[in-house]
Amino acid sequence: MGALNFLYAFLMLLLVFIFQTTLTGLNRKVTARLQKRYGARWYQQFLDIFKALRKDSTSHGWVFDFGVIMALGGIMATVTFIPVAGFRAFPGTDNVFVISYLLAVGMLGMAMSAAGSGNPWASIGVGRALTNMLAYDIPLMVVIFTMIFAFDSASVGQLAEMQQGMGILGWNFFRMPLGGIVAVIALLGMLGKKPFDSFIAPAEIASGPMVEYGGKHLGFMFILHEFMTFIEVSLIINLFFGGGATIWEYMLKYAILYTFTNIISGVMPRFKIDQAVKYFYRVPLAMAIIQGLVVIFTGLGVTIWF
Amino acid sequence: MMINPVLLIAIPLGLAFIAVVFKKLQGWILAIGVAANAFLVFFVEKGETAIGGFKLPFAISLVLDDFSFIGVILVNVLTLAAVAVAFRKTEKYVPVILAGLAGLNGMVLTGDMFNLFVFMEITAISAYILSSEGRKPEQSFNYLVIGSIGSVLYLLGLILIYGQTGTLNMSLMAEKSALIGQAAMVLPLVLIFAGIAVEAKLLPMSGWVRGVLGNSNALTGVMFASVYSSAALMVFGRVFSQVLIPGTTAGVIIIVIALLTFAAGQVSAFRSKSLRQVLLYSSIAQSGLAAALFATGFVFPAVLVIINNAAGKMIMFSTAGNLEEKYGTDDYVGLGGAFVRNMPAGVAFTIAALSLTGLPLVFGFYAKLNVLAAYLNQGTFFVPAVVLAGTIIEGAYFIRILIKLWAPGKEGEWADADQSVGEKKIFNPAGTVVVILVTLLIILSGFLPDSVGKLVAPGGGLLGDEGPSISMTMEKGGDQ
Amino acid sequence: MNLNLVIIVSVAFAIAAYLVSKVNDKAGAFMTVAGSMFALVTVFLLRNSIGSEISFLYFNFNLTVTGWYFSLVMLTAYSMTAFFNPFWMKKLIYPAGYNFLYLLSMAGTLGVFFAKDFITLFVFWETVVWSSAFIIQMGKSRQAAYVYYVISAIGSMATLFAIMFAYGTTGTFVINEAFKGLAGYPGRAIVIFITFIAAGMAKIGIFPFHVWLPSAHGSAPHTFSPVLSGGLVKMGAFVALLSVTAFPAYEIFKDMASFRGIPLPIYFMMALGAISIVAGTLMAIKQEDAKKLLAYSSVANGGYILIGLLMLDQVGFAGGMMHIVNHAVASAAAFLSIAAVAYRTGTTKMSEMGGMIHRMPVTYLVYLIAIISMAGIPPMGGFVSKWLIFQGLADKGLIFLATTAFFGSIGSFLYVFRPLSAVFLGQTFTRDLEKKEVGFFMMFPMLILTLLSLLTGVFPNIFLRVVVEIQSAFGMLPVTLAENTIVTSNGFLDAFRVFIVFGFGFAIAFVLFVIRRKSRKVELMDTFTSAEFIHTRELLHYSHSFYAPFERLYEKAPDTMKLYHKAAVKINELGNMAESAFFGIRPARTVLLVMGMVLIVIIAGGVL
Repeated sequence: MGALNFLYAFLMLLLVFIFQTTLTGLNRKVTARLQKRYGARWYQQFLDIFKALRKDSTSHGWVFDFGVIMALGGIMATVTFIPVAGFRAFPGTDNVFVISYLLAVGMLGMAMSAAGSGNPWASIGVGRALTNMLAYDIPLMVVIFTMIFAFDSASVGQLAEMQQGMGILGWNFFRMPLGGIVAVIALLGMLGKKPFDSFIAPAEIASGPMVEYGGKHLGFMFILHEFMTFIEVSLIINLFFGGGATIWEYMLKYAILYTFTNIISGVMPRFKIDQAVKYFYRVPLAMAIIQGLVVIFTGLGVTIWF
Repeated sequence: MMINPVLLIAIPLGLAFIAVVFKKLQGWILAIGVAANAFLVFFVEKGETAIGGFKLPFAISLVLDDFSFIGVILVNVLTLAAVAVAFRKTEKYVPVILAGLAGLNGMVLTGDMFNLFVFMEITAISAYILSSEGRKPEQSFNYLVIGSIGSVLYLLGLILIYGQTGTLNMSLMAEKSALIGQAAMVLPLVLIFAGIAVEAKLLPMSGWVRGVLGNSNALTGVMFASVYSSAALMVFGRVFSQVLIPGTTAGVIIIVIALLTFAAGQVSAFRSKSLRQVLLYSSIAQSGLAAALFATGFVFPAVLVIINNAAGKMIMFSTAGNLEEKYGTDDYVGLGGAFVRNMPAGVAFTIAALSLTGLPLVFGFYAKLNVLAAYLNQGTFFVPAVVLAGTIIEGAYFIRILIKLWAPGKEGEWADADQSVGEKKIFNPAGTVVVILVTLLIILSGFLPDSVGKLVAPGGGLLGDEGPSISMTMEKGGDQ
Repeated sequence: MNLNLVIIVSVAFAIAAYLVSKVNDKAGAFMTVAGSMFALVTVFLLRNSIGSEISFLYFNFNLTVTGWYFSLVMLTAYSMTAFFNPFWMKKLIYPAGYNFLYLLSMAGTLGVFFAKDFITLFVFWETVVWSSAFIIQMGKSRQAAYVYYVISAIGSMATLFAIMFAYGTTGTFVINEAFKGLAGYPGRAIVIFITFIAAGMAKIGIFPFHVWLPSAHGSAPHTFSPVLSGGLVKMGAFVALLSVTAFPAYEIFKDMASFRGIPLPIYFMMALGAISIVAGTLMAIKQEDAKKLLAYSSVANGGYILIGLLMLDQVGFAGGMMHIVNHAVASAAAFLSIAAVAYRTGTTKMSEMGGMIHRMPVTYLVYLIAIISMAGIPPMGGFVSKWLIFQGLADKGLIFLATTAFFGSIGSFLYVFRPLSAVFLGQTFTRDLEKKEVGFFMMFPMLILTLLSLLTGVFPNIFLRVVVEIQSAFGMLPVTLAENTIVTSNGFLDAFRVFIVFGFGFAIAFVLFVIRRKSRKVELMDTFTSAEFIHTRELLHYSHSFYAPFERLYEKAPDTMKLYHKAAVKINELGNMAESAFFGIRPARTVLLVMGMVLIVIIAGGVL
């Protein structure tokens, strides 16, 4: 692990930021078109972030600041662990558990900062966010568990490479279709897309974790959100859609999947938070366990079976 | 210097008569009597002594073997302890206590089934009188009635056996009864069982216990729960593991009754709210356990259970009696924090409770291990399961009492000394010394269990059993 | 120094602490620090005399690497917590008794871990049980001590039964031999296995024995809860460990029906561990008292330890062993930080506090690091052990256990965040505005534990090397360790690298933050309130029933405690029945009973 790795990591962060923020901007347009609006320009997201970073901000004490730094730091560290089309900034760190739990550092920092603002609305939002996480993560983890059992590897990069070279049917999404569907549903939950967006409460500006943020803090939160989106979508792309043999393939798949979640989100109503929990534990969890039992006891899905 | 065992009976009996005459000196007479007996008991000559001028086996005989030796030590030492703890309460009962002591020694020592009856009656009469201390005449009367029924049944059983064996001498009866068919022995055995069961507090003759022990004071409580019941259980052991060894049918009947006594005692203690009631039911349970062990032929573990119970109950009943006297209640809920300013009494009570529950580092653990090992070595696991289930219940009710008495305070707040019922001393200085001595013995013997085992059964066994079923140092029967 | 000397000197310290406390209770409490530190250092130095044996009275000791490992964990919890003792003497009803029992129970745990035979183990085990029960009663609840003792008794009596039963079958008490001969008796082996593991289950707090943890941990003196959760619970793990090593469960049950290679009796126990994870997590989420919450989290973590140990494989077992250290350190630190807060505020109820971070920042950091470890988030130790357990589960394809393990893991984010948010973050209550941080003497053990959490997370191999020795001692394939890396068949983990990269990310974020314009500091009450004027700090703090929507989903879940209540009521009823049937004060009934008995005998005699 030399200086070069850190340089790669830094560059990766930069590129990921540009890529994902552009995509977010484009998707704002897609959503707008769904709603028969014209929509903002594709680079509007960049403008928003830089504007926020330039503005004055207020701070509610050191944990409010510290939480923001910890959140962004943790999330950026996680981004550098994501393997992209065979490229890894730090080889050997793409263990799926490491990624999903290091992601939690960022979330913890965010939660800490929000609760540290002293605004009860923020705390309520955090409570919802954590509940939402408990809902979507279990089915997803069960599917990932099944995959580790089937392929004897917990490395995200390796799992992606194992699906390549066999055409579209080699993707885990098709080898383990139930699990694949679960993963996509869970992705909606992870990204906070409808019907699982009640914790961010984007429509009710004043009643979510973000209520106290402004200025550079808000800017940080925007950046963090872009990175988090990248991590979450990348995980699903790598684990279920074969990653990418080339960077272009990867980006294409990524853009399609991300836009897909936005389109779904655009036409969905919203679950209350306890409804979301109920839903995830009824349908996706059952599907995930059935998928797991099928793989573990029949071996169906370890090889291509169509 | 070795003395004749008959002195253990003669001295207290003689002093009892003297005490009737010299009323003023009663206190001294009692003190001298019980102290002398407790001292002399260690120098009694072993073997079978004939008294009354006839030759054995026709003579009245006293048998002092390893088994009855433990019995007389328990009886005399514990009587001394009981008198020392509650000397002031003995005033009215000096002749009664002395006569009772003579009877108890006789019971344990006698080698003759009819003399056993005589001594049991002497003991019983003194017990009836002592029970009147509780000022509940109805209960004493109840006791009297049950005791009389027991006596009649015992005699009836003895007659039946005498008719078949033609002797009253224990060793001779043991030889001859072995030749009689099992079926013919069942009824007499059960009748004799019922007779001894009164003092031993076994079902179904234990109806008196609640009325009498539930109203006992520091003196009578200890006398009934430690002294009388130890002697009665030793007699039970003598009769059922040496003289009239029960066959399968009678054995099963007796063991089932004994275990039922154990279980009934434990669950009844669990539901009781009064300290003395908990203790008396626990005594019943322990008696049941000892009886079951005797009836199975496990003499050594049974003796350990008796010793453990006697020592523990001595401390606990004297504490309970005194608490009732000082605070006017022995409902343990109303006695929260009684030990806060009574450290020695509290520690003694705690150690006694730990020992009775059979927890380690104290003597009771050795007893419990021997009980379990005896049965499990034999391959029986039903009885150990019952015993351990009983132990859980036992531990539950004792810990409940201990917590209440040690840690006063409202639920949700820290234990607070100011919430305790009061600061009254539980024991007088003499009582404290006695109680601490007994506690130290319980602790010490807990650390040196095998030495205690050798003391209890110097020859390796008692009344023909194998002795310790387990060696804690693992010298024999252990891993090597 | 000899094994038995460590125990004897500890007991001597206990007696000395008692006597000194009678004169000056604070000085006596310092004796507990000295005594436990002495034991910690001595046991640490015993590393080279592993394998030595010694007998004392009727106790037989030998030092195994397992015993050494466990006793170090235990002594860490004891010695670190001891630093708090001097400050709590005023609260205790028996300061001298507390100090005595504190060190006596510590000596008892050493006896358990050093035991060569089961008698020694059981004697010390029960000593710990009753001495800690007497400590617990000094805290906030008498009921708690009662429940603790009874549940422990159920477990330990079952274990005593197993020990004696095995002795009756094989004729030995020596730990490594007593169960070896059971292979020929499959029926007995199952009974012995289930009863033997019971004491361990009761102590770890595995369902259905878990009910004692919340009441005992939650109500014990604040200075004893860390020991209970960090230390004593691990004694149960020791017995659970023996039940698959000394009792070669996999060998004995190898012909039995199995699920994914795990014989059903063992799988059943693991399933109980899984239930504990779920039950502990769900209950922890809805607690309102910080200590009770942490107690339920101990239930859940106990489940992980049990599952890990019972796997007895290369990876999962190592995870279980590692989790023993991690949970001990993290939970002791968390309990200590709550104790520190309680020392200043006098309460552990979460709704009665808030914003303590501004008054007690160090305590806050201690709690933060502790919960990061407890929730299994890198770069703290808890992550490494959970990672190993997950790998082990994935290896074997134990899907149901894994599902619960994931649930417990994510669920722990929810509950550990509650005290963080309710106690430390949010609005500071008016009452607490002038409160100060605790003094250095209390801060010291908390910082040590925090560093230990970090050490286990960044350099886990230091600890795993000992685990490797333990695995080799039991003849298992040890977990593969490279220099900084843990290698499993599914991949590898370089905890140090994760830590460095995290530091890298943090550094970038920090720089980015610093170079932007400095933000204006505003008062905590200066928040967005939808144009309402709120001046009461307490009203602007959200802490009560934090996860209300989620809690509603399982508010009707059955309460295990009710089961025990029912059992107690049943025993009570039996007692009433027995009393009126057998011990009634009417002699007529006795006569009737005797007649009945005689009649039965005559009939039975006639039949014969």
